[in-house]
Amino acid sequence: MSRARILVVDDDEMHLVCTKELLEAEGYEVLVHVGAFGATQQVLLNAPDLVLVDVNMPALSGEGLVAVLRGREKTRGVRILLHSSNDEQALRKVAARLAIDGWVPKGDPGELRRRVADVLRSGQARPR
Amino acid sequence: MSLASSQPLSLGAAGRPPERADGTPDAERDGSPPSLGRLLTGDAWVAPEERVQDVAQLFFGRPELEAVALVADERPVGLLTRGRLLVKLARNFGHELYAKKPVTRIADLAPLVLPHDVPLATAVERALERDAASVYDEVIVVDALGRYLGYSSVRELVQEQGAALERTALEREAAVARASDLEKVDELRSRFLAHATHELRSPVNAIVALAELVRMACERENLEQVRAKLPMLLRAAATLRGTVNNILDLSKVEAGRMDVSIGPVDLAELVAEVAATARLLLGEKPVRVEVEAAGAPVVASDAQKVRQILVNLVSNAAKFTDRGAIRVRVGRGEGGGAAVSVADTGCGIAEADLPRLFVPFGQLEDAATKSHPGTGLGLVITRSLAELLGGRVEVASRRGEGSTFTVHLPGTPPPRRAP
Repeated sequence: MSRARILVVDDDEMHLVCTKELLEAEGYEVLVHVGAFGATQQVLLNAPDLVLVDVNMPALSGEGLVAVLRGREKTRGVRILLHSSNDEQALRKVAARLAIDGWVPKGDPGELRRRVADVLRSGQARPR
Repeated sequence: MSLASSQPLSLGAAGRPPERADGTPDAERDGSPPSLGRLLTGDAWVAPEERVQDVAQLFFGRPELEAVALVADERPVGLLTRGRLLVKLARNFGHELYAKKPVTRIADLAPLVLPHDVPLATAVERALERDAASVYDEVIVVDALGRYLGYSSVRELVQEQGAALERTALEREAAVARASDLEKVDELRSRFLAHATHELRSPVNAIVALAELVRMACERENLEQVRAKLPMLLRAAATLRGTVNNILDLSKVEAGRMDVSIGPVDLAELVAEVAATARLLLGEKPVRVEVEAAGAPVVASDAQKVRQILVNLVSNAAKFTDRGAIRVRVGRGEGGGAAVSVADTGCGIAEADLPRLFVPFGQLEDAATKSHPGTGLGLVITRSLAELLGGRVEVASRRGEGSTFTVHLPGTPPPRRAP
């Protein structure tokens, strides 16, 4: 079985470096992309199993990016978790509104590992 | 005196206010929908057996008197209005017919009597549903036990009702305005909170993640990885400290708790120091830092706060300028003071956005799509500090053409405000 592939989209490079290392240590293949622009292209090219999307990003917000991903035939099925420093309550609402796979608050490596593993496991039957 | 008195009622008593009988609730004095008991226009009364001529004398002697109630055993039994009296007496032989008769012969013996606690609207309705001849007669008001309290003119009642309706409309308008103000404040507060949360959590999250990676590296005994992570960890901690300090400074200034310690401030020296900071902040960017400090005055102020103001301004200039120059100028200002300006060739600010510059966390971008780091607290603090020192901050800027911030400082500081 091949390793799950995760794309992390964030404008904060420090965050990308950290998240990449944390998830690679779990055995995933991790790709990173700075900012929301061009992220759709990355999804098309690399067909990740999961996209971790930051909410607050310049020019195009995480919400905007999710709308773009969900709006295109080829990217519609990709699993998405919001990954943000924003208030959890707000994140929960946004995640529910966007009908995505959930959210992970930033700043809790244990929780990140758990939720990523959960989504990748539960999502295996998801039509692509 | 009390109506409960066993003394025979007489004309002398007319117009004297009877003491309030029991049963007039205090609430009536300030209760918002006015009730009848609060709107008495008179309380004159006579005994039913008084002769018409004596009652007429009473009316002639008191031109303001509009009506008298007929009261027996504290209870109203009739009403005689000035109009009714005049009509009766003015008739042919009216005087001869009635003058020596008891007042009951010409009074209305079935007047409208209402309890004091009837709501105004009901009282008006009851008064106006009377027939045409008596529709404008006074309404007699009694307490809970049916004892006479006074009367109220219909005109007064109608006017009061109109005023009450107007008040209600005004109050509703005021309430709507208040609610919308509160909503605005509330929106600003939640925006502030959302920004503050994000600005505080970002470095904290970085610290946590880096510390976790350092822990993992230690487990693998990979010293190289530890060495690589530690400077990032320190940088994130410094960012967090900066934000926390800014928030604390802002609350201190706003609470009037910021101490000022006044001494001579050599602006030439200070500006040179601040320019050096700007060069550090610019790093590799192709931006010159120029200083013009010839003839810079020494002012009496708080050196540490002036430094903080200028560092804030040059940090902004360095952050938003990618090429060109930052010029720091000091000159003499109005009234023995000084003016320090920081001009840059950066991205500038659109005119429409200038008013938002000094709003906490008002960094002109939406939090969700912000492209420059920073809390948006720097300029708020800068302005507050300048005002604390008796000065002010001005900004001149155009989108795409750079910005100039000028701090005006007085030669001597203002007297301290009382805490």
